[in-house]
This record gives sequence, structure tokens and C-alpha cells, in this order.
Amino acid sequence: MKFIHAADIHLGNPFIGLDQTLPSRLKKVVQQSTLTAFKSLISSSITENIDFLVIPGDLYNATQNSPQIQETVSQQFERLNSAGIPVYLSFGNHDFEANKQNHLSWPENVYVFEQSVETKYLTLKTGEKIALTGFSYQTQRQTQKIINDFPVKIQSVDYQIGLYHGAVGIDGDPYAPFSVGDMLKKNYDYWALGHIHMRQTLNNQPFIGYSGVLQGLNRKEIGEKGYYLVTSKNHVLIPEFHVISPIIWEELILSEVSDELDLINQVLNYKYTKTTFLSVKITADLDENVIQRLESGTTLEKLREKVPRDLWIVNLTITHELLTLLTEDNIDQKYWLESFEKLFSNFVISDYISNQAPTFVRDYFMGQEGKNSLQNKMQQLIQSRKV
Amino acid sequence: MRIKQVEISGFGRWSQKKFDFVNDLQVIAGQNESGKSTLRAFIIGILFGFPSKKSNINVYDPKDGSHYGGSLIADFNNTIVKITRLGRIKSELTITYLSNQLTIVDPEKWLTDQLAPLNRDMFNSIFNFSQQDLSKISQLKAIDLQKLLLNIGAVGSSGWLEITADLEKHADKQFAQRATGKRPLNIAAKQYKENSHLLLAKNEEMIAYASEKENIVRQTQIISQNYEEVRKLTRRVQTSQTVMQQYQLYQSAQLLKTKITASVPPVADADIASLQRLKIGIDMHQNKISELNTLIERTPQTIDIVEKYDATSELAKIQIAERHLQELINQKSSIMADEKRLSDRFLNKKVPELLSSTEQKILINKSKSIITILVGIFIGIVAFFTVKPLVVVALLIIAYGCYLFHSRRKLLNKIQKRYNMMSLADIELVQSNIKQFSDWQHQLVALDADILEKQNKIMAQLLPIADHFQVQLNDDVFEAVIIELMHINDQQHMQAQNNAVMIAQKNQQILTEIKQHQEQLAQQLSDQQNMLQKYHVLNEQELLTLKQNYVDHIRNKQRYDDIMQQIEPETMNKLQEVSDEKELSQQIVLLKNKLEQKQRTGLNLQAQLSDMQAQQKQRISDDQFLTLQQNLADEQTNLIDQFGDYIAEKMVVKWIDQALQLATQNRFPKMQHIATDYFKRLTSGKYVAIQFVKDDLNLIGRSGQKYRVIELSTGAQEQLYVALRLALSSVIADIITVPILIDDGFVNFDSIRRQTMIDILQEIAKKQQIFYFTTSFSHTTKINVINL
Repeated sequence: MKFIHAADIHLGNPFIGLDQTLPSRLKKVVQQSTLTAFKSLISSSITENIDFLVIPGDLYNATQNSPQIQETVSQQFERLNSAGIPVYLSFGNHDFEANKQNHLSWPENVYVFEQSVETKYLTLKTGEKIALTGFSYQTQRQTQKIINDFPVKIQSVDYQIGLYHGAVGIDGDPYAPFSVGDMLKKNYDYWALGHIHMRQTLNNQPFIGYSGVLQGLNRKEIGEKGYYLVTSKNHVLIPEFHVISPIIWEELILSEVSDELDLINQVLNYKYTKTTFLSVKITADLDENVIQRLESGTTLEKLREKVPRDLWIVNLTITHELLTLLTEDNIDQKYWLESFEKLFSNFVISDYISNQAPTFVRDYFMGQEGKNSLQNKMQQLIQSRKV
Repeated sequence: MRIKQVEISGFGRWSQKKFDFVNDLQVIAGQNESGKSTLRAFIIGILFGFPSKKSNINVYDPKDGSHYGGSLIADFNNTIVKITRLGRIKSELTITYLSNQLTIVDPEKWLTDQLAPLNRDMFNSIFNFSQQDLSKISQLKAIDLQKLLLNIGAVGSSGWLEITADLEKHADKQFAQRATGKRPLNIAAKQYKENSHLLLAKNEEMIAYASEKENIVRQTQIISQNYEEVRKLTRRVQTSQTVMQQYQLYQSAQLLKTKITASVPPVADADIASLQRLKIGIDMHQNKISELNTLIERTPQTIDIVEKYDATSELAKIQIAERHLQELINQKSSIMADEKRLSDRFLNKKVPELLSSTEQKILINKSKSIITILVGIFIGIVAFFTVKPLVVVALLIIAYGCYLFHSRRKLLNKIQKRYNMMSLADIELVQSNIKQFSDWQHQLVALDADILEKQNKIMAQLLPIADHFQVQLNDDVFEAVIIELMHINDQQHMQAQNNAVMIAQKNQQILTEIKQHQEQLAQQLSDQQNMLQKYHVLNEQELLTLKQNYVDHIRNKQRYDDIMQQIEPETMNKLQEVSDEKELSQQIVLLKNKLEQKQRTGLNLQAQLSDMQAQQKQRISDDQFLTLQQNLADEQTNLIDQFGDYIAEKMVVKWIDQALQLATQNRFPKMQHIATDYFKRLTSGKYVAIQFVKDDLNLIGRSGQKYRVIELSTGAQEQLYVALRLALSSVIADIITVPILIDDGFVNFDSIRRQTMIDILQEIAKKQQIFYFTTSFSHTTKINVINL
């Protein structure tokens, strides 16, 4: 009994947070990265000679699709078909509509879960009986506790595996909210979770956890990404993480920087093993000159020229702790802080940008991440103007 | 903090200069360019660091090359320190306690801590103001003035306000809220919108791709159907062609069938063989008979052989002739013997001729010469004794005698030589024989002629006989030949008789043989007749034909069977249905046409499929979706970043405004009191109150009228500004007390107002040291003035 749990493959997902300065050689790698990771996954499935492949949601990045992606999916699943490996596939919040859209017909080894919870059965060559229970999203949100629809483990099977695309939460939360307790009650042998891009274990035995995204998609999804190869030991299903992503995102925080040269050297000393997209954050107090060069992008440009070809510096940012912002100006400090807080507590994006700005921009700044970035930018602006 | 003393080592126009200050109001007076501003800059420089050389700021390099910098003695709450900064670049700061001369470790930090929360900017904005600040007031728009005045309560408000204006301006250049905006962010947003539509449009490609894939599947099915049809048709055509091919065979089989139905009697091979054997026997006998008959005809008759040739009598005659001849020959031989005897005497030489008469005489006259000689001798002897001269004659006679003797001898010799040296006597004897010799020769000639004639005669007679017996004739030995011939003749005679007997016997034998053969021939002919009758034929030829017919029949039957075996039952059924070949071939042509059409259709379909597949491949390789999507994501990043900058700028503007307002509003109650007092005094009681309501600033006149800031005269506006600023520094002084630096602040004030101002400054200076820099100073009260 051996299978692979790979969630959030996000085929065709663009990398978020890159700009147009990315060299074309890397651009190609980036564009193909999710497809490359997927192909590697299929190759591993074949070489590992697994019994089946489980994909709990977000195989595609979006409902929109393209011939190349379709062709890849079709060909790769066909490879598994030739190898006699079945695929159990459910759709998540990203690809909920995938089966309704135009797409090539699935090879016969692909079993797609319907919108309501259903159980599929499989008997292995060894005679072991497997039940797989799952569901697919019907809209982008799945606010009901769909976990309640899952049956408890069927006694006649050797293993029961749950495919669940969602996040821990309470009824009403957007992504099929569940609790670990809910899952434990079902007595399943393994819960293959999807949706959360960071690999994490919610429960050890039986295993309930996220395999994480197959390929990091933005600078927050740092570290090696891959899939779980699950094997049975003494009838316990144990996942083992396998790296597969062709590109890795990483973050480097520099807390002490004396000058630009030092900064560059510190980055150049960064150790990496494969194509890496590195975000550099500087928390150190910097010389006015250095700040200016950073602000103008000169340092980044210089740095990008010096680093090896397979290391890409995504950005160079200076971050400040808000409270240290105006220490020297503490005469009016409280007024500044008060004003700052008021600004964000009453924050309405329409006060700043009309609907002439794209919706995603407006949405972004309404979100916490956007607000944080605004706060950082504002502090930098004040900092630079204060001098 | 109060500044007690300044000692300049080198700073601008100042070098090695020392100033001592009073603790309250310190007036520093001097004409333009006398160094007031330099002194002011020096004080700030010592406290907050010398300006760095950038953006055209005056860094006050010492004009005479003195060591840059200097020191300042300050009193921080009764801690008196000497602060020294030397060197413009990397200036060195040292602070020593005046009380114990100890140097402070980390002087920068110590000084910053002492001055906190002030920095250069804050100090400038709170405690340092000049004519420039005032002169700005008259240039400000009403709203900005209002804002300025309102924000005086906040630290560094005017600087901040400039920043907000600047930011606002910058931000507005980036983005216009209205739909028709053409600023960078508007354009980028529009571009993004277009690109996202473009990406959405890519969905069409996906639809095309998916439907084409279906088409390909369908096409593949159609092709395989077509292929199946082609396969079936090919089989049918093949079957039909087989039928067509076997049709000929079948037809010939049918033909054979009609032939083999008629019965043909069998002819035994043995019969044929015996008939042939009989025929050979018959032929043999017939041949033998005719051969024997010929033999008999050819055999010679007995009579012929016996009477053929007899030379007996002839030969007898010849024998007699021969005896005559023999006699002649004998005659000849005897003559020749004589002749021989004669010639033998001359050995090999020819028989010499007869001696002539002279020769005979000589032979006989032997002594004539001797006589002569003897005579001569005699005469000579005689003469000699007598007549001597006669001796000569004698001699002559002797000589003659010798001559004679000699010539006779010569002649004799010659003859002897001719006669083979015979003696002269013999020669004389032989002379008769020589005379006979010629006779003999005549006889011999006659004999020879006779012999030859006789020989020829005999020869002529003998020749035909010798020819007959095939005997070689030897010319001379006729006798033996004749005897031989006679003998042969006899023998032949005998032989002929024997032969005749033998022939007769042989003929008898042949006749017997002929009879035997004839008997056998008769027998065989009858056998042959019987055989022919058996098959009702007249001769062998007919029988052979009959036999051939039978063999053909058997062969046809065999062939028919073979053909029938070759044709498969299925084909046979079909063949039986076929009415005629033409119809069948037409059917094949039709099928072939149909097949060809199907194949062509198949090729077309295949070509279409290839096209479709190629197009599909093209769709995949041309797929720009991922690129567009990534580009769009990159655009998003850019937009978020740029809009972030824009919003941040806008928010910072708001932030600053709000912070300043908050500070002012909070500080204002304290400030209000102080400022109202100053303003009241400066306007000689024309205005009695400053009201700060919400975001508005109003002034109350003596009789209670309300004035807005713009309604004030420029002078009054300046006075309000000064009042508020001084009030602010007084309020801030609760937090930190540092000297106030005023540079020619009140040039637009009339003398009364200036006096009032000085009074106010003197009051403030009791609590807070004030440096008042001015071009000229005169005042009633005693005030410390340093004249530069």
C-alpha cells in the first residue's frame, strides 16, 4: 500500500510579486514551473510504483485554462493510465469549475469526486481494499461544514482515506470549515488535506495534514515544496515528504548592514541549492545614503547584476517596526500614532482610489497584507522626508 | 539649557573668536554680512552637527584656513559642559564637564539624549525662526495661511506642510480619479484591463482546442470505420477476383465434364506392346527374306566360274619363243666373252687401235740408227787419225745416228703406252685379235637387235596373262615367269572348280532358310490380324489412335478432378451462380471503383486528421496563456506597487495633516492663552482673543467682532504668526528648554510694536534664553547687546 498525496498543484499559476525585470530565461522557467512540478510528480508516481494518486483540490490554478495546460494534464494522466495508476481527484476553491469548463475528457484512470460527498472503492493487487471519500467545490466558497457529510469508516475496507479541501474553522467560514475533532470522529486512516499552501500536520495518527503547495507561488511560500509519499507501516499510514518544486522561494533578513557593499556581500554569501527567488528584507538601521540608493532601486539593480544566474533577487525592502518610527520626535509622537491608527481604522479604499483602479488593487489594499504594505511604504516615505 | 559661551576656531568668516552670552535675552546686532547668520549656524552646528556638503548648502568653510569648528559652553540644568566639534568632514565631538574636566564617553549619544526629543529639524521648526518665515506669510494663499497657523501648535508643522504639498503634487501626477485620466497609473490600469481581456479571450482558444480534440477523436473514429470498410471491400474484391480467375478454370472443367461423359474403350498396353513386337517380327522376317533373295541373286553361277580363263596354250607357245631367245643370248655371251678376253689385256683401257703401217715398219727396222752411229764412230776414228777435219763430219754422222735412235725409241714408247706396256712382240701378236674385235662388235649389234625383237614379242604375249594373274613382270627372266604363270594358271583352274561346288551348297542352304522365315512370317501375320480384329481396327495406327483417345480421356478426367479440387466450395457456389463472365468482371470493376473511392476518402480523412493534429500542436506550442498570465501577474505586482506608492503618498498627506491637527488641537488650549496675550499686546489690544474651533481659526476684535485670518492685515497676520510661534516654543519649553534663536524677526513691525515685541521677549527670556539677531538695536531698558 503506497500512494501519493499531492494537493494544490495550481497548474498555470503565475508567480505573484515579480516584476517585468525578470530575465526571459527565468521567466520561461517560472511560467512552466507548475507544469514542470506536475510532470515530476507523475514521473515520481511511476518510479515509486505507487498504487494510486490522491489530489485533494486545486489541481488547476483557475477555472480558466489553456491548451498547453490541458495537453499536459491529459498526457500526464495518460502516463499514469499506462502505468495502471488510478488518480483520485477533487476540485477546490480555485478549480471548482474545471469540470464544467471546456476540457479534454479524463483518461479512464481518473476518478473525479462530485460536488456532494461520495466514496470510491479500490482493490489493490495485494487484495487490500481502499475506500476514498471526498467532494468537489461547486462555488468558490464552501461555507458549510461539509465534513459533517462524510460517513464514518466503512468496516469492510482495509483503509479509508479522506480527501478534503478546506481550512480549520467554524460553520460559515469560506473554505469548508472543519475541526480536527470532526475528522478524528470519522475514524479514517488518512486525511489528505488541500487548500493551505504551507505543509502542516494537524494530527499525527491518523495523519491529518496538508502536503502544501507543489510549487511555491509567491515570496511568502518559502522553502522546499513537494508531495507526501504515504506508505503503510503496521497498518498505519505514514507520510514522507518529497521535494519536487523546480524553483524555491526564500527570504533573507539582514539585521545588520553597514553599507551597500556589505549588503551585497551578505546576499552573495547566501547559500542555495537550486533556482531560488530570494526576497531580501533589511531590518537594520541604515545610513541615509544607503537608504536613498535602496529607494531608487540602484542597489537592487547592482545586486541583480552580481548574483549567479539561478539566484533571482525578487526585491530588497526595508522594514521598520512601527513603534520605533518616531522615537526621536516624541514631542508629538502620540499625535502621530493616533493619527496613523485613525487613518487605518477608518480606511476605505475609495477615499484614495476611484474605480479607475483595477478591482484587484482595491481588494488588495483592503486586505491586511495591502494595509501592511501601505503602512510600510508610509513609514518609509515619512522616514525619507524627515531628513 | 543655556549657552554661556561660544569659542569659534574657524567657521565661515569667524576664526579664533570668542563670545560670552547672558542667560536671558542676548541681542546680537550687526549689519548685513557681519556674521550674524554664521554665528547662528555655528551654534546649531555645535549642537546638532555641522552640515554635510551637499545640495549647495553653505558649509561655512573658514575663510582664512583656520581649523574648522570650535566649542560651546552650555549649562544643562546646572551641569556645565564644554562641547567641542572640530573638523568638517568626520568632525570630532568632545564634551567635557567644566567642573572636573572629565570627558564624556560617547558624547554623541549624551548630547542627543540631552537634547531629546529635539533634532535639528525640530529645533529649527520650534526654536529657530527668521524673517524668511514671516515674509512667507504675505505670499501664502488664505487657505494655506489658515493651515499654517492652525498647525503651528504641532512640531515642525511648516516643514511637514511643505512635504504634504509636495507629496500631494507628486501623487496627483501619478493618478487621476476620473475615467478620462491619462496619468501613468491610469494608463497602466487601462493596459492591465486590456491585457486581462486578452487573457480572457484566450478562453476562446481553449474552446477551440477542446472542440478540436473532440473532432480529432471523431475523425479518428471515422477513419477507423473507413479503414474497416476498405478492408471489407478489399476482401470482396479479392474474392471476386478469385472467382474471376477460377471462372476460366471452372469453365474448362465444365468443358471437360462433357468430354468425359462419353465412354471410351480401354486399350491394354500389353496388347499394344505385343502388336508392336509382332510388327517388329514381321518386319524382321520380311527383311530377312528379301535379304536372302538378294543374296541368292548375287551368288555367281558355277559355269561362269569354271570357263573363265585358260592361258595354257599361249604359255606353251611363249615357252618355245623363249627358248629361241635363250640361244641368241648364249651366242651373244660367247662373243662378249671373247671380246672380254681381249679387252682384259688392256686392263681397264680401251682396246687400242690397230698399228699404222709406219708404226709397223718402225717396229721391224730396229738398228738403222745404230749402224749410223757406228759408221760415224768409225769415220771419226779414221778421220781422227787421218784427216782431222773429217772428224767433224764423223761427229755429225754420229749425231744423226743418235737422233734416229732417239726418235725411234720415242715412238715405240708411245705405242707401248697405247698397248698397256705390252711387249712389242705381244703387240705384234695382238694385232690380229684387234682386227677380229671389230667384227665381233658388228655381230653383237645384230644379235642385240634380234634379242630385243624377240624379247618384245614375248613380252607382248606375256603381259596380258601376267596382268590377269597379277604377277609382276621382270624383263629378262621370262622363263621363271612363264613357269610361275603356268603354275598359277593351273592353280586357278583348280580353285574355280572348288568354288563352284561350294556355291552350289550355299545356295541350297539359303533357300532352306527362306522357307523357314516365310513360315514364321505367316504365323505372325495371322497373330497380328487377330489382335487388330480384337479392337476392331484395321491397322496399328488406328489402334494407337484408339489408345491415344483412351489416354486423353483418362487425362481429362484427372484434370477435371484436379480443377474441382482447386476450387473452394465457397467459390464453387459463387461460380455456380455466375451466369456469365462479363457480368462478373463488371461487378469487379464496380467493386474496385468503390474501393478506390473509399481509399481516396480514407486518404483525405487522414490528411484532414493530420491537419487537425498539426493545428492542435500549433495551438499548444502557440499557447501564450502562461506567458500572458505571468505578464499579467507581473503587471499586477507593478500596479499594486505603484498604487501602493500612490495611496501611501495620499495617506501620508492625510496622516501629516491629521497628526499636525491633533497636536495643535491638543496643545492649543495652553498656546491659546499665551498667544492671545502676545497678540493682544502686539496689536495694542485691537484683538482680544484667538479662537480655535474645529479646523477653523478665528480672531475676536475688541468689540467682539469675529475676524477670519484672511481679513487681517499683513502686519496683523505676521503678528499672529509670531505670537503663535512664541506661544508654541513656550509650551514646548515645558518638555525641553533650549534657547530661541530669532533672526531679524520683526522688520515689518513699527517701532511701538517692535518695542512691545522686545518686552515680550524679555519676559520669555526670564525662563528661556533668547538670541535675537538684528541689524540695529535700540531699547530703553538695559539689554546685553553684542555688536559685531
